Amino acid sequence: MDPILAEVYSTVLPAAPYVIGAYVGIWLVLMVYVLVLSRRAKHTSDDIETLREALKRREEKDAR
Amino acid sequence: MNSPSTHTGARGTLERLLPVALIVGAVLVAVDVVWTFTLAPLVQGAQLSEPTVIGGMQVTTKLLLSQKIFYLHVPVAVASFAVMAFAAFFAVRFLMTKDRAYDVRSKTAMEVVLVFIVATMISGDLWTYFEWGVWWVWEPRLTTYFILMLLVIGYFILRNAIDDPERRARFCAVFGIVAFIDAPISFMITRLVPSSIHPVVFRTDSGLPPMMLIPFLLGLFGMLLVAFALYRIAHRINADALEVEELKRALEEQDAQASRAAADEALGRLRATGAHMMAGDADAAPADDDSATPRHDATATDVSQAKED
Repeated sequence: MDPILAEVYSTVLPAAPYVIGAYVGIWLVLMVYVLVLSRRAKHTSDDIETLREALKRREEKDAR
Repeated sequence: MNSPSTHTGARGTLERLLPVALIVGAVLVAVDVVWTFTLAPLVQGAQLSEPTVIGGMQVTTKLLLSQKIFYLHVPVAVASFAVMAFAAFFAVRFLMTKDRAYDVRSKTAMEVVLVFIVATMISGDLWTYFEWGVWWVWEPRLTTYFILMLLVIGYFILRNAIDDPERRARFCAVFGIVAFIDAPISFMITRLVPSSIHPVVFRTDSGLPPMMLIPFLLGLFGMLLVAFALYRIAHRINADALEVEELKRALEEQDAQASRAAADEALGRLRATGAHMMAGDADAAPADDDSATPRHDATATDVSQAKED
């Protein structure tokens, strides 16, 4: 490779892992948050189901 | 201004727009990324030992790839400032109205702020390490942004440290507003402190060529839409979780009240039985003193029997 061209692009390849890392890092953080939100949503829906069952049991108990 | 609970129509519209905002935001950011690595030119770095011609153009400097981090790093950072402004706004609204719905909104916005701050920190640090050779520099922008991150983390520590919901909401609202003061300082610090070595992006004389400005703006609007969509999704989940917690607490209180009522009723019955027996005992006592002891024994046995009942 032409030494001048090599000098022109001398910082391009070494920077690539950092640039890719930055882009992946940003998306990774956002994805982790989405995962946390989905787990929290599942936990909440489980809680709602438990509450619904507790309410049903209570109504049955009151009916007797 | 009305309470958030009365904004059913507006909320319904926002809910309907949510998937659209998320998709449009993701698409804009994707276009930004593709544009960044295909059409946006590499910026110029250090001077070459001698000029050369590439593609018919004279090149006198090295070309930098690391600058491409800027196309996503800056939009994420701006989104963190924007969402933080909303968090502070909701905190002010909470202090004005005492409506807990605003507290949930403020807390949710703070969550999103923390996520965007962490993303900004990661991407910024990778650039810092490559360009400056160190992972961290106590430079004004980095320092004020780091303080902002600590304040947001402190907000959640404070939230978890207070049990009483009313006090927690009030203290956190005040803390959130105070923490927000650092956001404009961090945003403006590169202009306020001339010795700052952090690159300045938002300038009236920045003169970004369209091939660089367009992807940057696409990324900025895309990331703001993604932040908005994440906030709305998180708010819906947090509001549901809060409602579930309140329902649980109400049910537990109801159970406790029922148990207390049953215990009071049993105690009343017991007292009535005891009083009845004591009255019978008192009537019989003057007639025969010797028979008092066995009668007391009988009363004690009856009371313990009643207790068992």
